[in-house]
Amino acid sequence: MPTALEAQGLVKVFGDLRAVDGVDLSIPRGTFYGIAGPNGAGKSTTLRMLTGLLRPDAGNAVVDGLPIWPDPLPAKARMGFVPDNPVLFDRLTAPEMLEYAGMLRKMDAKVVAERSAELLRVLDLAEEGEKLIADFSLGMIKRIGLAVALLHSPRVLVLDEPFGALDPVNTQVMEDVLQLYRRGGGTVVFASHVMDVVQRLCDRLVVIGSGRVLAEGTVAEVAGGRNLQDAFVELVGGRDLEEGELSWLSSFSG
Amino acid sequence: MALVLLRLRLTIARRARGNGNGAQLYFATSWVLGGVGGLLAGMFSAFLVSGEGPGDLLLVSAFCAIFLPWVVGPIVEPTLADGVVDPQRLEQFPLTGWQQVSGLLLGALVSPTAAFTFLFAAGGVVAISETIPVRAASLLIALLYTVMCVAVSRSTQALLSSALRSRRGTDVAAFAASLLVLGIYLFAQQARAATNALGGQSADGPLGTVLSWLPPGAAGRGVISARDGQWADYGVRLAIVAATTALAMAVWGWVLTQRLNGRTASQHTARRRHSAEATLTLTPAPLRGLPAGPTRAAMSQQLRYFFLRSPRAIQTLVIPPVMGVVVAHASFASYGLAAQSAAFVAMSVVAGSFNLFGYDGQGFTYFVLGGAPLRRVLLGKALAPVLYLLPLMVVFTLVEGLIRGVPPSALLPALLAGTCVVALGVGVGSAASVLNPSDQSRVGQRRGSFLKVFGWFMAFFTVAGIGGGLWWALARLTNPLLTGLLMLVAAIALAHWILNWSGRRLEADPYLIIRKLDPRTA
Repeated sequence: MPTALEAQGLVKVFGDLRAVDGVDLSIPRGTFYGIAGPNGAGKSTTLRMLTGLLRPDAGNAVVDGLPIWPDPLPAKARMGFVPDNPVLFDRLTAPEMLEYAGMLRKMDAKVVAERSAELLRVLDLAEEGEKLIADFSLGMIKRIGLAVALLHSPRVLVLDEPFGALDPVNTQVMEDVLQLYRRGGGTVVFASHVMDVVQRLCDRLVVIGSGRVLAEGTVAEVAGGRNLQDAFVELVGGRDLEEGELSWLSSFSG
Repeated sequence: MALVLLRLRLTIARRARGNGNGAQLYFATSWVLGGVGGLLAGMFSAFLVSGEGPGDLLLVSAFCAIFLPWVVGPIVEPTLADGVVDPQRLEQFPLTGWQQVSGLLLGALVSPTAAFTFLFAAGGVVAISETIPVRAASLLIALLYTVMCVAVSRSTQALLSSALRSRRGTDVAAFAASLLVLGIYLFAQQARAATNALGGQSADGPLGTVLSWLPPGAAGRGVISARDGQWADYGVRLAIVAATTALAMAVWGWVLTQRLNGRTASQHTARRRHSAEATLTLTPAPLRGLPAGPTRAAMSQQLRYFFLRSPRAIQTLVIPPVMGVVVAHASFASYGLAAQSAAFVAMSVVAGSFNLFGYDGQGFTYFVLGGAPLRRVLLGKALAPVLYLLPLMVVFTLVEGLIRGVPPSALLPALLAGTCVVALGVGVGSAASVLNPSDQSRVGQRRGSFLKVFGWFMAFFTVAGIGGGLWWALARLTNPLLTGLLMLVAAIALAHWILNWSGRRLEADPYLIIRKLDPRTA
């Protein structure tokens, strides 16, 4: 199967910290691909290098046949990215933000208008006409972030914790949108801590710990016959509370 | 609790200031100026307390004059206000309104401006041959007066920010700000005549009587009453100052309570929701004829942010042209209409052109993330101010020409001179925006970059001055119209070159701006 996104020997060092230490990935086109790992494992740093936001110290990534570095612009034109906290112009309304994104991507105004209206309706944002993004809830920001990322119909969609702060209805809507996108040949890459979401949606999965790939394969391969949550904890190393730790929590303050 | 908030305020201010040489220099300079200036002002007020007669009226007037910037400051330039401890962040803790207000007030008292105010007001403490009770009474007045200045200033700021959450409040604030600035400039123009008038009056004259019943004047009058042994009058004046302070703190607390009750902009705008249809609304109607693309998009966003979405932006944009009118009218009339037009634009262009990404905040990261062509984005943002500067310049030049009765032949060169400065401002402003960006909403960061901002303004005024010299020399060799046309071509060529250079610089390192505007992402 042809690859949509490929990373070769990605390395990023911050001072003494080797945040990403030689990550290799090969993400097949048309798949749901999960990136999992504990806090501080290097997931976000990897995602930022994959999306052209952070220059790697070594290695490179290729999107749809285009190397991201040294010039990330052509690759960005084929990608959509929704960060954990989507970065948007918070003093624009949702339709204005979509129009802005469309014009920045040099899209046809008619196409922008049609797609914007449809995206806003599907993502339940059509009734927020004059409300500024600054006044949106986190869930609404996630949805407008997704709309902005999908507007140009990218080949690869990268999402960081996409389902956090979404209610069950909107989680379902977002899942449906992503499945629709994938059926059309799109590739979804997302980072998440929530193992049941990863297990439910992903075709393949990589587990990153201490900046390295700890396991990679189909969900079944990584789980190895266990519950994915248990397999994940075992891979990254769990930690139980010691006897007597935080015992004061059993009393209450006045 | 107040001390906890004071410590928090000092820590945040120190972190926000950073360790850069410019920031440290600014910090040290402001405290030295506050201290030395305060000591000099205190010596002056001690001298006035020691004497009698016309000096009494001057003392009362000085108390009023020093109080004025405390009230006007947050209105005309909200970013000058100290916002390092955000009340929004205090809401999550179990603090009463009084605890929040007292803590924020105590934090605000530790500032060079408050130190200056206290040292000035405490002049009576060191006045010659006064008794201990008089010195103690003067100290009490000085303390209360300083607290009053800070409390009134902060409550004005809180009230204003509350008002600015509505569209109508924004309009009113912008209008009030321009009126206030105009009033202050006109007053400054008449300062000499006013000072002469003061010389002929005593503190018991009509002006002195009116001033001494105003809260700041009452503080000044209280010092005089203590000196003269009129302790009942001293008590009344002290009560006026204390009551004003209490009222200001109550207003401040009330504004915080309003926030607690949820009276916010989102609630206000929620009432006006309507369905989004398949129409595009970002681009203002007059720009729809331009080709769609990143340049038009950035231009539209910038104009929307300037005039419709950011209360600070509209205030910052309104004030410089008002000042420009006064300065160009009062100080440049003898140099001719062309110089007036150029001076008006020079004063007006800096507010909208020298920090083009200043209102974007984390939105700038979207440009990088979305792969936007940054050179074209910069071009759009740089051209946006031209759309309001050129009409303003034309109106000013025509009205000024009409008032002064200049011949029609002088109008076109004057319009060309104004256009030259617009072009130059757009060019230099684009370089300043790329090399020295700052987030307009983050007060601490802006303080640190103050010297750099000042440096850019000075560089621009210097280049404009050199242009003025060239204009003058060329005018000696040829006619004014040809001079204007030649200078316009040169100004546009220079602006074009600087814009291109800035665009290349921006594309080479957009992360510089991300680090400044969205450090969390950087």
